[in-house]
Amino acid sequence: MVRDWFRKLSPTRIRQQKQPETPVVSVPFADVESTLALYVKALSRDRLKVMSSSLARQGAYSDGRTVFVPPEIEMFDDPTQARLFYRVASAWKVMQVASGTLDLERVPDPTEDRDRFLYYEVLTGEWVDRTLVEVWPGLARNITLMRQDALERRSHNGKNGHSNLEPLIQSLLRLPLNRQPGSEELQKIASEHPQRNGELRDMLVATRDMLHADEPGQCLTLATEFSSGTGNLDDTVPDAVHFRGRIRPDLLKPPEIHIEDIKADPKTGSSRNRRPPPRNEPMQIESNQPLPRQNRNRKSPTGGRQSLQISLADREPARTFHSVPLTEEEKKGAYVYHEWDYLRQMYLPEWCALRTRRPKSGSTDKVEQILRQHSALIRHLKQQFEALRPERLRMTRQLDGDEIDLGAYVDSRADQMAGLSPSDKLYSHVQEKERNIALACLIDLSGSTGAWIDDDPRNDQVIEVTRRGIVFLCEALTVLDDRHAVYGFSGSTRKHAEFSIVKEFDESYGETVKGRINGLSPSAYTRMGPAIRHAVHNLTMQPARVRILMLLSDGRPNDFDGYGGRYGIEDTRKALIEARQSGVSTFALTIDGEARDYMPYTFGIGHYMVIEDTPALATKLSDVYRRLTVQ
Amino acid sequence: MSIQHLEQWSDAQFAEAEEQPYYLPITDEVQIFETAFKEQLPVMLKGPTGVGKTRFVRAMAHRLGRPLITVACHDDLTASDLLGRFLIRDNDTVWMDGPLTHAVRNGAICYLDEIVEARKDTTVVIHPLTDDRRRLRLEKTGEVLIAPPEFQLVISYNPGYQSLMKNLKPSTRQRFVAIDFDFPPPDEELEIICHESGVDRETGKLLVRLGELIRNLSDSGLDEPASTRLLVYAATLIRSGISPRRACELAIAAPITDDATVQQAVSDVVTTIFAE
Repeated sequence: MVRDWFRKLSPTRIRQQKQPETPVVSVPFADVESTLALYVKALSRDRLKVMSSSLARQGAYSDGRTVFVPPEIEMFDDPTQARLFYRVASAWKVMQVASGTLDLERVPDPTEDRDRFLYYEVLTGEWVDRTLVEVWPGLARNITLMRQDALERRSHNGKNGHSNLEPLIQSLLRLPLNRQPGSEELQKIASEHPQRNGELRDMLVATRDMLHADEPGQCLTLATEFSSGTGNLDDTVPDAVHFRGRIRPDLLKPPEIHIEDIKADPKTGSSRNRRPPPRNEPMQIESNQPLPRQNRNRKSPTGGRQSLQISLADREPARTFHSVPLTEEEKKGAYVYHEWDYLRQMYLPEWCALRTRRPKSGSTDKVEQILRQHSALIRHLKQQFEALRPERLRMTRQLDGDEIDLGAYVDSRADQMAGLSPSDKLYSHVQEKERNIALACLIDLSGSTGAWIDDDPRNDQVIEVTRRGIVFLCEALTVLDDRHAVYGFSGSTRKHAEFSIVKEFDESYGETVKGRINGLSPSAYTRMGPAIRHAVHNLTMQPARVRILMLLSDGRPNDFDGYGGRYGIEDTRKALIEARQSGVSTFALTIDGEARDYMPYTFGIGHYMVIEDTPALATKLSDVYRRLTVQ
Repeated sequence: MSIQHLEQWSDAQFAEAEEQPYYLPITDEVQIFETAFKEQLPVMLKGPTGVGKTRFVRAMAHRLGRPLITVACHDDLTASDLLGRFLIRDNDTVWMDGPLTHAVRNGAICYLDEIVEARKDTTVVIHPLTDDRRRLRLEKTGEVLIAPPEFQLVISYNPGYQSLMKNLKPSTRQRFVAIDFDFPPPDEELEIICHESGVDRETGKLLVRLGELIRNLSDSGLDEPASTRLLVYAATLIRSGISPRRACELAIAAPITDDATVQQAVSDVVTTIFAE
């Protein structure tokens, strides 16, 4: 297996030291994470993320969507150098991906032809250096220095001497970066290497055109030529050129497109078009008949399909359920809510049993990572929220007030002298506004939130975006006194509606709550009605002037026992009408691309937002709240 | 009662349009503006800061041979500030036209810059001017002015600020022909930077590239991405002999954000393009 081949690489390669006696400092990734995240975002046009991975101790790598760098750099005696190394190595990876060197169809399979792969890695490494310097000339000096540094370290490392690829690597590193070397110069450099031979000279001369080619195709041609033309490479795999890291074909994943998805919607494969996976057919609200339902591409938390359960869930409501009330046993310890049956145009009394639970609070590492990667954005959101703080405002031109408004007085006097009736709004007074808001944020935790965005496993899962959104909102709300709660909902059937209390109104946003946010995971179905009713119930208990319910969902209401199609939508709509009647304003955010079919009807125009770009959901949540509550 | 008018608008106010301001058209905006002018339709310019909205209006005013009156709107701008007011002089009062009234009287182009900054009750005074009535009623003097065909109302609006408070009322925004402004495409941006600053094309290209990279950070803690104007400022500093890196720090990294992390990231991006 490819992975086994890579396992043979020793895990501490990046610790190559120039002189063992110089003390090196260790700079952890966390120190540079927030700036580096922005840096990679800028350079990659928001296409790549950066993270640390222990696998990257053998050399930074990328799977085509994320740049993985070592968890710490322990190579330099100066921490500035280590930070620079992080930056250069990340920029290099971005260029490697952007230039197409990591395209799956191009990278040779090391299990098929190991030599060809190794040559490819070395040659593209050299090519990317040059392309990078051309596009980002500011890094030219740093890349040159890194090349020298790499060369020095390699010539001190005895082990590399055992590889017969090493002379080529070192000779290439000796080439000047800023110009295209001529054949004579290449020959000269080849002859300077202690293991000089005719083969090395020929190879080096052959690279001449490739070095300044427009695209990496020539690297592959040359790698094929070298691996077939010369004798076999020996078993020793030379170290990565430190700032270039490695190519890991075993970790490069193609976009995972399922055959069903292709059938359902040929556009799903496009990575630019960040739409949620295709769902049901558009529904027609006018129709009075139950709508035929198609299979829903629900997914388990791990992204696999739960086809059996889905086909059951997607049936129209089985009417026989309707005559059976909840038993005492089923009601025990639960909040019991009614449900709206649109076919009978009546409430089904005591129909749903909802149980609250507090998710276990554990590690907060995911939340901490969000805080580090998005520190600048969070500070920005806080600043924006600070602007919402009630401020003392001097109102001019008032009928009454604590001071005379001189401007108004002069205008009025002038009007009077011109024969007009003067205004009597001559005072100014200071007004202090109070916010007095309670917010309940209700999050869809159904199984479908475990799906990868665009069905591409290199992307985030929907739940991760949601998690980010909650962290952003909670962080931003720390600067305001608004009372807020965060709830999640899932469950299967009306007997087991589940309501997770992530943060209750009176709880503070601390380690326990962060731990619960950390542990949020998708499960089961989307029965919106009872969850909305319970959240509204909690909201109305809050002493506040304005009460807001924000709902986050990734699809239409759906449950195992026929809470699908029009039935679910009608009950959700009814629950929202009840909410408004009890003085709760509602707003929904959804990433369901087909939500426009039912959202206006369910939530009302102006009370919902469809987010096409799923990752944007994270910031939209805070953004919407800010906009809803600005005074 | 006779109303004495104060001749407060000197020719200096019209001097703005004397020299043809440089403006590089990106799409059909010049043609659209001309049509709107001919058909007496008010125009709304939408777009982020520093992409050339104001420059465009100046260039169009010159092209159409009309004087231009610009009002920078602020949150204390009252209807009187636009329409005019009585002033006390000696023991008498004189009427002073506000900029909008003056533009209507003289068939000028009136440009209300950043209209969302003005209070909502202020913006409604422009309503009767923006439909087919094209009239302006001055309550205090009892006059009703009919706008001549040469009068044109132009407003600008930056949707990027996105605050519920600072949003145009639909009843206001639906009275305008909207022209969208965005950052110019790379080739045009290069052209603009080189023309405005006199910097060489090589440096210009790098600045364009830098601008593109920084704009990728617009939703990560930047209020507004690096504008063409900032790139022109940086280019101007470079042309006057300041090192490119320092110029970008001064004109781009520092002005666009106060956040240390973002500023560091922007500086890192600068060093990726311009060597230390």
